[in-house]
Amino acid sequence: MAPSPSPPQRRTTERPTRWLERARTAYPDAAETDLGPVADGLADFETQMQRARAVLARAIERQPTDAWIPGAPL
Amino acid sequence: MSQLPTEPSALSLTQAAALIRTRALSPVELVDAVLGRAKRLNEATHSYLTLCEEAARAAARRAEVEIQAGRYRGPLHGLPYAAKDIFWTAGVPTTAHSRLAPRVAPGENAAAIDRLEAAGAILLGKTALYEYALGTPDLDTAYPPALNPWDLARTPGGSSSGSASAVSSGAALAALGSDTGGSIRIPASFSGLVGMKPTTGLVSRYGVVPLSGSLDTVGPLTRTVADNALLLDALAGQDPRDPASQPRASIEHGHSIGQSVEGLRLGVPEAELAAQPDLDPAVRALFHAACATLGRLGARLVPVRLPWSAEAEAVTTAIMLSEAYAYHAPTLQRSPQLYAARFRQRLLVGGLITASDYLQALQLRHLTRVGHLEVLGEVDAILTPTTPWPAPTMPETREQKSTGNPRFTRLFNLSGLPALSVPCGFTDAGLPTGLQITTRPFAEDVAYQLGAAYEAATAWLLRRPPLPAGS
Repeated sequence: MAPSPSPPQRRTTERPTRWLERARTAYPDAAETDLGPVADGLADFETQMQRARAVLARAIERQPTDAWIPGAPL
Repeated sequence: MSQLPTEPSALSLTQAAALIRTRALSPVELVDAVLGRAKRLNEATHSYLTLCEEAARAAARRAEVEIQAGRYRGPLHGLPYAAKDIFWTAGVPTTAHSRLAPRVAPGENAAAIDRLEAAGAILLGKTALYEYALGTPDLDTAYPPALNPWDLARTPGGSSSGSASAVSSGAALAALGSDTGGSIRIPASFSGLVGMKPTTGLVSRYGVVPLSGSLDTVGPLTRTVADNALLLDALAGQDPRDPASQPRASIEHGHSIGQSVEGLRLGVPEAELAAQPDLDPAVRALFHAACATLGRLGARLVPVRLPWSAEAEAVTTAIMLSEAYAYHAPTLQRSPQLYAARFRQRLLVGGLITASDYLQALQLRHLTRVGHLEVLGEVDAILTPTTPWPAPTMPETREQKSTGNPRFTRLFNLSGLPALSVPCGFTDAGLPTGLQITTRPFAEDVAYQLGAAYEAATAWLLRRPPLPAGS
């Protein structure tokens, strides 16, 4: 139902340790070969989501209302 | 009607329907021809995972008897179609293209399969996808990935890849797909087909193995716009088993086909397109040519801005991967080795997205919908390319971990709007491209009106994939 997302931006140096640690803590039984790509995926998502959170916060400041509480049907 | 092809498998649905209604063509003859072509081609295209040969022939014989006895059910009676292998099918296994059997209610069809069966359509087989509609075309998947009939070294797009490959190659007259971020429209674009992602709630998802329950939609892939509308008519309808299903009056979605597009206002996000230097030059040129064609037909082109586009990737990832992880968590914990590696890794990312991020993504999705509806308050439809570039090669898809870039398509899964991809011409290398037409909620008829007008003004429909002689 969904294609894969855009290919991640080329990462520059080493894999961010914090994401690797988070993946390892959450999935102690996972193979190391999985943990690296999971950490990369988390790092990519965090980069995207940081901007999205900031934009959302500005939107809420502009229109401080509870009218768009999530969960309402489309 | 234009001159008919002599080979039944080359007929459009509407052409075949007219011949069957007048008894100039038998459903048995048609099913035999399409099954024969599917069997000859499948080794090259890998479109089908399962062919329902005996059941399809039996259904064709029943249809023939019914039609001869005057019990004609309507324009889909006796017409063969294929279904992506995530639709439940009673008596036929559903694999979701995975080593892990999905949780299927035994003996039950998906609602879409039931509706097509009631209309008299005949299921030919189940088509390849990417694992659970989210995997990638890696080498460790359970079955080989479908290939693109326009160039067998390339992907037909995903995740409804086998459905697109089958219809494009004449191994089916039409097919069912599902679309969470572009999985009907991207394969349609890459494979020279018409693909509709209907308004959320128009077509029941009951019995479709879920990827992301709040973004999934079901829709048809066909060769022509009229065929697509015909199939949507049969698929649309309220179903209490799907919580997103909405009550709508039954309409003929193709009623608008053939009507003038004069005066319709078409929004073109020119600034966003100009800011995408990686847009393939041929895709860009063909898209602008398509806009100009619609302009010559009397539509008015209006520059628009598509709000929340920059946030769409984060929002889609948060929602889709969280919901996918929730579905797969029990089996992922129990049998992780049964998932292909890249798919498993993506699911594991979904398990680490926080509830807060998921809920903020839902808020952003709501704002996206509001923003799109504001744009569609000013224009009748929004035009974009369907994909930023034509079909990549299989090694490129593995390298990019992508079965098609969804930057133009996922936006409208977020807003739940209907979006149609129609063939938009070919690159110099002979690869198809797509034009995406997005309209207001439940205005699929307007999308078909525009798509059909553009289709009639061009000759893209006449091209066929360069498959080996004798196929």
